[in-house]
Amino acid sequence: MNSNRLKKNKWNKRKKTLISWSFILPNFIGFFIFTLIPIVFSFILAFSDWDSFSKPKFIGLNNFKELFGDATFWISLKNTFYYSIGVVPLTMICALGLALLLNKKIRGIGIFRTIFFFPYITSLVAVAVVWNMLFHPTMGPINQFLQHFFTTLPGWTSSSKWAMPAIIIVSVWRSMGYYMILYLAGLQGIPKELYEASSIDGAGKWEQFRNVTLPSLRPTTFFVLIMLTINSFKVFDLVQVMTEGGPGRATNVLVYEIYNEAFVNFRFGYASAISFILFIIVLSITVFQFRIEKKNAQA
Amino acid sequence: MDQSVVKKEKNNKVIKNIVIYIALIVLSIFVLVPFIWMLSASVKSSNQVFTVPIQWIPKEFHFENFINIWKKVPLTMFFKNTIFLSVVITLIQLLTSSFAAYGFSKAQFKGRDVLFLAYIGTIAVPWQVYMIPQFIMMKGLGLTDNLWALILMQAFNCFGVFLMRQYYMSIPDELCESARIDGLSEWGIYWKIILPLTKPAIASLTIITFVNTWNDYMGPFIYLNSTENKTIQLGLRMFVSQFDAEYSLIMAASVVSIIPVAVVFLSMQKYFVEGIATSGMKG
Amino acid sequence: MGKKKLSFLAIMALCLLFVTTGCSKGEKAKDKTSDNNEISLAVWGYDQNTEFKALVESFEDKHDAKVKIVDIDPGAYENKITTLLASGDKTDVLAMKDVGSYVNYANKKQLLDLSTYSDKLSEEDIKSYGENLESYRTEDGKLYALPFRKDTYVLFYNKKLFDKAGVSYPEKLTWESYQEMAKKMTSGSNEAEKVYGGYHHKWFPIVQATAANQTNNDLLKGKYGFLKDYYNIFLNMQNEGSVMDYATIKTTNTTYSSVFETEKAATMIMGSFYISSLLKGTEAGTVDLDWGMAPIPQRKDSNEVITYGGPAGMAVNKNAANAKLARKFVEFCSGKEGAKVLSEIGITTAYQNEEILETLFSIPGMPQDEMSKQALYPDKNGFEHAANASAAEITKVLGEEHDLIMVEDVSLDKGISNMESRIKGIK
Repeated sequence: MNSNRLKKNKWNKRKKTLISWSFILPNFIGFFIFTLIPIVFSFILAFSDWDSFSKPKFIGLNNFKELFGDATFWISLKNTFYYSIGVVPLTMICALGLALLLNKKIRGIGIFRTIFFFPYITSLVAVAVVWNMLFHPTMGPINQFLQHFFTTLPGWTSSSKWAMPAIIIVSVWRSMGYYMILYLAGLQGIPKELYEASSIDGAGKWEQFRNVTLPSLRPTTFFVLIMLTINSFKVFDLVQVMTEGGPGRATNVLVYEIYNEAFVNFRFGYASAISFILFIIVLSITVFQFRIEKKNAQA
Repeated sequence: MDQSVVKKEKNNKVIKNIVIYIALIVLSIFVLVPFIWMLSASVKSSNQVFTVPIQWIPKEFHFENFINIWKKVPLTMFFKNTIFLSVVITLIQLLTSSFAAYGFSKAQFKGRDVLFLAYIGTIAVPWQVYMIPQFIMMKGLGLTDNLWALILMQAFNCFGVFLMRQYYMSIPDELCESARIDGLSEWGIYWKIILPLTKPAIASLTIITFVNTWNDYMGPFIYLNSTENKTIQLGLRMFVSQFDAEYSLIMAASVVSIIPVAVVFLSMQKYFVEGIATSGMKG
Repeated sequence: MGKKKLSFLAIMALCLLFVTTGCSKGEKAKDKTSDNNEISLAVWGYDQNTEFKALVESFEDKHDAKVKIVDIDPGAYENKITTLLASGDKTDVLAMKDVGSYVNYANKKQLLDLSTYSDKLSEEDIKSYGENLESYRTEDGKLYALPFRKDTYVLFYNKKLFDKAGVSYPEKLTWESYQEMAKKMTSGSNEAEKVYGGYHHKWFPIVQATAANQTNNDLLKGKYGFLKDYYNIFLNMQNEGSVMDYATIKTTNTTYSSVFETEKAATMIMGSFYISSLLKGTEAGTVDLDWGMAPIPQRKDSNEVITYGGPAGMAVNKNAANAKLARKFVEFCSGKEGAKVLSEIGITTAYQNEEILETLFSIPGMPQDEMSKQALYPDKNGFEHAANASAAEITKVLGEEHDLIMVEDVSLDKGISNMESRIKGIK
């Protein structure tokens, strides 16, 4: 009797696991073969010397040793952090602000949402061309406006000091509509009853925002934060079309450096080593964010 | 007395709406600047595009650019390929990642969290790194110069799983529990309870996947060789060559290429219109 | 722990297995013998760069062959070629866009050795090639590509603008007289009406390769003091406003052709590859210019005309499906026959002699004056740099420092010492 029940219990558990896997499997198979395997392979490459043509040669930690003495690597690491610290909070604030503004039932709201999404779908070629013109040090509209207030004007993409802020601005402009979508979906998930209840309690708009909206948005905010952080460390396209890493190495970011090492210098092992470091950094930030999220969720 | 309060409130609302509209319009103009430039460049002649300072209204209009682009490269074919890719990838992505997300959020099994971390971990790896191993593998499967290579590579994206999981997490477990007690199977819970509750999330995943596939350049560039397989983004770059860049045509083609994406967005965004009011849901 | 480790290793092994078996299986599946008279050719910008089409059509005609084109975006050409080669792709002929990446492919043994070509050349051929064939010889003494094009940097000028200003057309200028001329030819105060006396495109070899060739130095040697004079000239002209400034060119994506064709610049230092695009534009009615050529400015103390220009060539893939015909095609493009075809559409060829040059100048629309002919026939027509293993890495550094010097983010002295110290670090 007892053992029978245990058996049944075990069977039940197995069945449960099986069902859970049946949900995950369709995606997992594709993911495993077409993403995970190549990634694992490229991580093995981080410990080898590979030019993409001949057989990889195992060289242990040599790539990493060289990396730590490589000035360009450190510059690109610093640039990546600079970019990330600029882009993540700014984009989050803009995206949330837009989502709150656009989470309304008024006429034509669909058009406005589309407009704010437009930067994201406009082709990168156009984006680069236009922003570089807007940023033109003397004839660009931005500096022509700024000259009414300041005497020394930023050189934007043609100066190594201002190129990164310029890229950050364009990045925020481009991706805020994207994250706005995620926030909108999150806002839609908040039940109206919560607002009604808090308004009966006599809460003002600001208190409602603090006590209802923000806590309810936590899963979304967490997702947005993680995606923004990861994507900011992976920035490549924008840098490539706007400044090509320049002037000099002022906007050379990690992935740009990876790309150069791989496709200009044919050092795929070395490039993999850089991406290994990138991966470790992003992973530790992500795990840290997960920890905090868990703590918050429990509190 | 009572009526005037109502009236006053109504007036307040009108004023508030007007303020909102003004704010939206001002912001819109700022946000749309590059698009406006694109439009104006698309009706210029190529060597008038780059004038300093910017010329917003062209001196002469070349609407024939919009006709010429169809003659210069087989745009119709590019559109067909891109639509095929975007639609198939979006569908597979939606289906498989909402399944997987359910598994990762509502089902319990050993190793769930580790597996999930592996998923998220791969998001952190830039594609440029594993592009070549992946390409070698695809070639081994005989899938180069083939749209299916791109589908296989992009449809099982971990991003979608992560996104859907986050939304599923905000649905209280009690809802599933009570359904289980009512005798609903796991698939039943997924289909009848979770899916209808996450319409906005599905809408946003659709939009994002569709747009990303539509605008992807590097993937198709590496994988596709023959003209009959090429996509819109590759077509756009075909206008750019090393020595002369026909920017007015590129911009005309860009304008045309945006239209389908904008349509998808407009049709999906209506799912953001009304909130889901489910009693008993917590944040 | 032990179990975990084991399973991790197992996964790794599986991956490797997958990748390797996948490879061999694919190769077998795709290994159908292709037709003997068909080859595939990878090029950048097939429609815009008319030379490819001309060569292909003429070859197909003469050899009853079929050439299948793989058209690749010029902006990421090397990227795609690398990926193709790494995967063991069988595309037969690969056009070589720049010397740096050519050397890399050659050193990694991805290209077929074509050295025997130079053995069977006649006296006349050797003379016609000059140094152009040798420019592809790598450090191991072998040839892995044959050049079909050889550029010459010249000073293009707009005759109408000179007539209007009443200034005589440029001839053999020194750098000093060039600066004066550019100042004289600059007019218009506001940006919309401004016409610059000269135009220096953003590419770093325009300063650096010119300097290296005219002062008999080498860009790959790691010492860059010789660049100072040249940078001073370029920076001076930019500060005087007689050329468009570097930051503007870079940030506004200015294309040199649009500057010259909208008559924003009276003169422009540019490679001879621009000729065919001018001729094509004139024929199609999109370009309406009366233009001429003169040699680029020279040092005061030199009585020779010294300029430079890169080669462009064709190589055969080591894995080529039809190597024999591929080789034939590459030799056709590079040799006399190909040169004839190319000179008919305004391309300056690697195989060059009086006869070929004559053909070039007989194209309708070519300037007919003596100076234009001399411009394309300088005393010395050097190269950007040799086919050296570290070329790609070094030129990347040179380009980055060039950037900083030209936007005046670093002083000239600092920029040059940066170049020297950074290049010391490259093996």
